[in-house]
Amino acid sequence: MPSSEVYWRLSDGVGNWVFAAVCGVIALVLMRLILRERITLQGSMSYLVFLVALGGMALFPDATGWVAHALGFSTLANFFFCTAIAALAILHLRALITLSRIQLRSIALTQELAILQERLERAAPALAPPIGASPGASIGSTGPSEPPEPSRVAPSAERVR
Amino acid sequence: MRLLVIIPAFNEQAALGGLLHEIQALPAATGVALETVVVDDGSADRTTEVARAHGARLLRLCKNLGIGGAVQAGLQLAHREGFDFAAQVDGDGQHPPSELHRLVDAARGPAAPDLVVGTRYRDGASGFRSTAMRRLGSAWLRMLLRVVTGQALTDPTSGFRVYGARALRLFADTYPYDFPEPESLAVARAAGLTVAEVPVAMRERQGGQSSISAATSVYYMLKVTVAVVLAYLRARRRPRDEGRDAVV
Repeated sequence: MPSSEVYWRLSDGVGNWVFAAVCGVIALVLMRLILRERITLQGSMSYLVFLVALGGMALFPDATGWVAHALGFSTLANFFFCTAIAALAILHLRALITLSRIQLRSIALTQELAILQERLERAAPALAPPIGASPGASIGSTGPSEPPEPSRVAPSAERVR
Repeated sequence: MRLLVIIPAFNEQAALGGLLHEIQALPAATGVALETVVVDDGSADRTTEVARAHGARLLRLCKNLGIGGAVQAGLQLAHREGFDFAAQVDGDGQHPPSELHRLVDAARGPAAPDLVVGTRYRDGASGFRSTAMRRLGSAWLRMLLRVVTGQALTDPTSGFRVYGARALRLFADTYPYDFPEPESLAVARAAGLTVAEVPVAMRERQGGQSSISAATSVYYMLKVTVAVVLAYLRARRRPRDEGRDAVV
């Protein structure tokens, strides 16, 4: 069993304060990015909470040690690393989900834009270069045979989930 | 019957013109109204100009989506405009338009499968010799799809296809983007669609370069294996379309 001195500290001396200060600086950088609208508050809120929690663990090692002991960790460092790794994994998963969702939306919007652009060019040939469409009613022609029916257009929002 | 020929093209200026010319030269088929759309998948060459010069309809994707995203754009167009069938013909010229009638005839035949795939490896197909690595990969995919879907398919990587109305409805809504050819077969089977194969002749690509090299093919196979299994499981979770579930 480690001594209580070792158990209750993340590091000797001012290490806890330095770590808390680093967390604070990163949180400030995040806030600055939010203010400059480089990132959204909604997307970075969980990251801010994570930094506050880490900073709190560093500033209040006694409380952290009590929680770690209650959870059965033999040393505070083990508890700290387990918590940090788990939190980072969750944050990464969240980012992955967000990124994948944006990718799918980007694909849907790109397709939608192409279809609408083609319609626009067909509907207003004076506004766009002619595409040489000629009515074709049999194999051997490549142009459109008739304009699309607006009633058959499915709402694009269905695909943008 | 209205048929939309979808040509996904990424930097295919060398092959596209000849392909469109061949489609224009196809003999008229009774009762078939054919249109062609080129889906320019963010090409940096003159693909757009070539498509316009040949009078084809043109979907210009403002960024490269890959073959899956490009094909789905064409399928959405076909579905929205009420086409009865859509045919997928690769823009590199591997799929001779003169073989298209085989797929269309099968799709309009008495069995009326939802998805007709042109195969290089069944009896009657000729004129194409793939690389050893590709044949090995294709053999692995055949076995995988047989285990996953329960249907024996001889050419799971073939992009020469005709989609019926039910397939159009399904794939306009959801279409795999990672490895679309084999994945879409798994999705179709999981959704209860019927899939048939028709022997066709294929040829070497008429221009451009394949995106898969020998060095990356092993990694490709690993990824596609995971993707096919996941695509099948994902599609099984979707509510099934009413209709048949027979194997043709």
